Amino acid sequence: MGYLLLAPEMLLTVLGIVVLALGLILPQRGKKVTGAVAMIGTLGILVVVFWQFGYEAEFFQGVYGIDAYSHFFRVLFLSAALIIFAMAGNYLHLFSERQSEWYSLMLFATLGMIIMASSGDLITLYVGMELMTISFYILSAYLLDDGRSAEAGLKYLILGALSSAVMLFGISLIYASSGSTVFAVVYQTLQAQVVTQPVLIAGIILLIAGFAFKIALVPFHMWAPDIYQGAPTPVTAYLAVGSKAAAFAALLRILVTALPAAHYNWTMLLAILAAVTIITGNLIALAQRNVKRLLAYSSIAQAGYILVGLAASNVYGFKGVLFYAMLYVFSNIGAFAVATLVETQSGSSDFDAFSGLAKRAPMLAAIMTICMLSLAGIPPMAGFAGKFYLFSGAIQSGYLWLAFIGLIMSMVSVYYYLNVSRLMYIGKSSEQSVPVPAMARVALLVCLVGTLIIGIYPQPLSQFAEIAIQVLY
Amino acid sequence: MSWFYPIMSTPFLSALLVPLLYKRFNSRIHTGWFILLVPLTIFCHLLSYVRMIAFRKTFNLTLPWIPSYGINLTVNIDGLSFIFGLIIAGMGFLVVLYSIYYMSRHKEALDNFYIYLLLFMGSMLGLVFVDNILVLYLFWELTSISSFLLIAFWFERQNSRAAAGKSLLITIFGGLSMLAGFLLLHIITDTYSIGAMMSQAEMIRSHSLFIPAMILILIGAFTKSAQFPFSIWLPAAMEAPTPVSAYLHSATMVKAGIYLVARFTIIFGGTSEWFWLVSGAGLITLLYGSISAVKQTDLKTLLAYSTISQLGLIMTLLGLGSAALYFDSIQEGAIYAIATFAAIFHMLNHSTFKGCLFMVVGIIDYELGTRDIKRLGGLFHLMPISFLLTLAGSLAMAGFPPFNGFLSKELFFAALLNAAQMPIFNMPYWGTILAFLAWFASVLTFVYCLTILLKTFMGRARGHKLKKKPREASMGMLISPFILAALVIGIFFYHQVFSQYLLIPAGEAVLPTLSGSMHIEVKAWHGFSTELLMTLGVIAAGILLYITMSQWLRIYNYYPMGLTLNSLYELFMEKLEGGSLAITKGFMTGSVRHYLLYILTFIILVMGAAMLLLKGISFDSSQDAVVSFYELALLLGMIATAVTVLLAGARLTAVIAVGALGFLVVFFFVLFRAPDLALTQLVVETVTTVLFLLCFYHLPQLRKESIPIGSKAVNAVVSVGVGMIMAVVALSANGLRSFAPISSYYENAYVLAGAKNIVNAILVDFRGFDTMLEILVLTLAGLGVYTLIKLRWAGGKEDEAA
Repeated sequence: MGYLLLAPEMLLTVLGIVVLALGLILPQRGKKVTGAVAMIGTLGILVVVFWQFGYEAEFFQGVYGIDAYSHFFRVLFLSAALIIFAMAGNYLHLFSERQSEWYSLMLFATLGMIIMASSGDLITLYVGMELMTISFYILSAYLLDDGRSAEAGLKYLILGALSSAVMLFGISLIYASSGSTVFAVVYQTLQAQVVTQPVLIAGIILLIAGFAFKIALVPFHMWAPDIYQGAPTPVTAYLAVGSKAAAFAALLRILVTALPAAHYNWTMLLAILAAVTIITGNLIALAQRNVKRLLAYSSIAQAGYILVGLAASNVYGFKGVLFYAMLYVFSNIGAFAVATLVETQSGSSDFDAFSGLAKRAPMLAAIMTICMLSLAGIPPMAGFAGKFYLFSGAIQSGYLWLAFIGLIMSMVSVYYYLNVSRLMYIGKSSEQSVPVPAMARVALLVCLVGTLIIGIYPQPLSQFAEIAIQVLY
Repeated sequence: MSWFYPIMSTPFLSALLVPLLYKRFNSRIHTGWFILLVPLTIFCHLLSYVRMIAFRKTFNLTLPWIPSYGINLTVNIDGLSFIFGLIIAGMGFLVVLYSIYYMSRHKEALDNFYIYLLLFMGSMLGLVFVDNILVLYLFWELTSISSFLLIAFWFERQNSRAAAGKSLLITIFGGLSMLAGFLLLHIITDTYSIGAMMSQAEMIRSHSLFIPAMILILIGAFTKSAQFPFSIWLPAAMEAPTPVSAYLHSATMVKAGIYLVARFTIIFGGTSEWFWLVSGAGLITLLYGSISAVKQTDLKTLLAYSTISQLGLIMTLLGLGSAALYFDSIQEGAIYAIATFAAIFHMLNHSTFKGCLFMVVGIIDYELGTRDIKRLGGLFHLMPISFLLTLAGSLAMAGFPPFNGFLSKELFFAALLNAAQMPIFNMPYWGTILAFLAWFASVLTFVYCLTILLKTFMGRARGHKLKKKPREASMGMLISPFILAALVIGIFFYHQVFSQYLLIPAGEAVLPTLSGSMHIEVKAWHGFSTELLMTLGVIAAGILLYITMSQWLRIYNYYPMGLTLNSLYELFMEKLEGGSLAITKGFMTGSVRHYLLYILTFIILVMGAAMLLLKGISFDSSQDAVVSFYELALLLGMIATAVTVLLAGARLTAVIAVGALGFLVVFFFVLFRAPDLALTQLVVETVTTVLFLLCFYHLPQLRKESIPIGSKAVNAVVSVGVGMIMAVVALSANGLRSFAPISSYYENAYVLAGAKNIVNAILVDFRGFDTMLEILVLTLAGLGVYTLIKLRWAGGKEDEAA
């Protein structure tokens, strides 16, 4: 296949530019077409990715590589983008004439994520990450009339710049100790050295700190709630799902292929970060009275769960990371999709807006409940299978205490997730119904089916994840 | 392939069909008639295993599900799961039949009702038959969820919703705790199969994780079976429609905990911890339930508390029976195995008489519109059949012959008396007290049974207090309770058949070490034994207490309301949220300064610790060039400008200082002979400074904020700390020489590229591709800037035009 394997990346770039250009050319009324173009294009690229399954290649001496692992994450990011495009629908009216730019930025963010997951080189990885992050800076501040949106963008910019600096410093230290930024070369150089270098450890710590910011691990999580609440809801959904998955994808690839745990014991650092993150995220989420903010805090905790798999640093745990990242797309976007629809109708995402939703929109309430049960890890929803993989990985590596913290905190999370369900089924209801556009209906259905199917029959996804993980070894 | 899997999945499959059936036929036929076939099929299919079970054969089937993790849908049909399966399917049939008359097809959302009910039936069957603990957990949570849905079925009612939430929270919490226990068991045994665990029982008991695993699993069982103090959800759950209360909350779901305890007896039993935890919790629950039941005035709530107390009784028996595993000799063990047998017997009996009572209460509620015994009375003449059914049910519960409850109650006393003489587990001290407490609880049970019977059906009729005119229920509604009442009496007379085919195989499944030696004599009459005297004592004391009830019932008023389990639960939830809010307010302030403080402090700590612990701080300046005077001067200049930025009062000063800092860097490049870099830096600095100035022109006036000196000090400490740590790391990195420096590579410049200037060689040869793309980017950026400027002009013109 050669360079044709890079077709998805190239097509995505072209699509982003085309959508942008269409927005300039088309008259005001015709701008809706850009959304359709973006969606059909993304779907087409997804098909191309499926068609490329099984092929792999390395480009520019290992700087960039397409393998099963890349395929997995390409599917993840493209489907996430597609579902979000579909669900955003009516919400985009808030952006009035700036819709095509929105689509374009989302596409570029997706491209950045894909590059992060496939790059085999620290600098390329960094460039991909910046492409994603800079797109998100703009996207977070996209509601021009909303002060909170602007605040979100600015905060993300300031803290994001700091984290980039930290990460670059880490990269340069790793380069200083190994003489290369290409993962495979770093691995070989470090393999030959017997002594552990403190400077290299410092580099790894700073690198992880940089990723920790993107993943919103405690104590780098502070930005998440403010930004998740302020940013437009579809953007928040993508930020919570895509940006995190991309950071996990890149971190996992680096840690396994360049800095194997056998030599540099980073698992303890990750285990502690995971524990603190799970505890803090869940405890804070308890008292939230705004659904978007609740989802933000809970997604901090969710990242902590995924990190458990990384800390486990065995095939089970890594498989769990991939598995969870994928199911998280369906469950979390499903929850955000309902939140978006309610917010579009009532103009608020406070708890009051969800009161009695079951009577006004039974389907939305049911999907929200199922997604939340999945996030809480209750069988037979997908989240249970995911948590099972993650925790059993941790137990196998001897992190029993970590698995237990995860379990206990899952109990706590049941409380706040069900609080929302209870409100929807119990609360007083206004008479207004919630309109659901056709495309959003499709998106919701995909999320629902995904959450249920993965939970009831996890084997196929589990195999997909396993094939992807095997490449790294 | 056996028929087992397809038949056991019918509840789930038919749940998918319900919406279709409902839409198509509801106008003519009650959906329940279709659903009726499901439990009937399952019941008949299970009956085909009777012979096999009676001959103590067990039956295993496996269906792979997630084989890579050793998770398979293995089923294990033995005496224990068999009797549970029969109860679930049999009661399911009766309840669906009853619901056809109870749930109006014109008013209720029958499709939802039957979907939830089938979902529950399927998961409950799965729960008792599966062998894999993870699949068991899955079904366990599914029963919790379907119970939640059914309790909240009338979700317009405030009470229903609160009750549903409470029950879900408690049972899911218990389920997760059970899962934790299961994971510990998996760590000990390295298998998920209960069967495989049983064969390793010895090893599990000597493992250090044995006690934690036991406690965690017991919490799961106790929450589900409403044991004290987790019992509060059950009375609240009475908000569900009565068929649901009869099915889930007395006959099946609340027995899941009993099932779990019975199933794991072989692994945990024979230890004093298990013995005391299970029988202790059971006894407390028995007392708590019967003490609370006596004062209730709502018939359903009364039945709920009585269910709690009966579940406690069964739990006590299971605890007592587990002692049999302590003994090596079969004869000695068999004495205590009576308790296990009694537990299963009473479990079966309880399902029959309590189901019957719930259905009658449902009838009363349906016909009269109330369940409050203060408004009821004298229904004997008006509802004679209901009266007879209640008579059978309540006397069976009170332990009166000729009803099945009498037999199991006698066995209960016998088991207690046996246990009181047990030489182990400190029983010589506690045995008599246990027996007395259990006897006292039985007295109270007798009292509330009389309450149900007499206060409802005897005495003055109080028709004026009722909403509807009382009349006997329709035939259809009476069929199910009638069948149950017939069973109540039938089991009494034909108990031999039941013990032969059901109870003893089940008992032996709980205690397999005793198989073949469980010869338990169930007799209605065995002379004037101690058990019979105890029963007579219960009746005498019970009647006395019933007559004097109005005198002593006032004692309950002295109990403080704040200490009831419900208010403790509310208080806990309130505190939990309060605590969470306090944490949030504490450090999620929304201020970027605080966020940065936390992040940077963390980085300082981790990096400092890493560098110190690894002894990584090293300064090797031996290979560095000598610092010249100019370099030193530039450095001092840079420090001065940097400090100026900090102290600058006006924005303009700060911008100029930043610019100056940049220009000083240019000099560095000049010093180190990199004119191209110097040039680039010069251009960039100039442009940024100009841009800064342009931007600031549009910004509002800088407001002089007075920052408290404390914050300033913290800022200073953290920023100096970050600077220090980064400088230390950078200097330490400078000492590294772990690979050859890259500078030698550039000697190729002359040889390969023929260039005397290295920079030229880099730009056009080594990194030619980069340079080309950089030019492309610059061109694009230039185009962008040009467009912006053009647009601005055009905009300006429009403004003028306007």
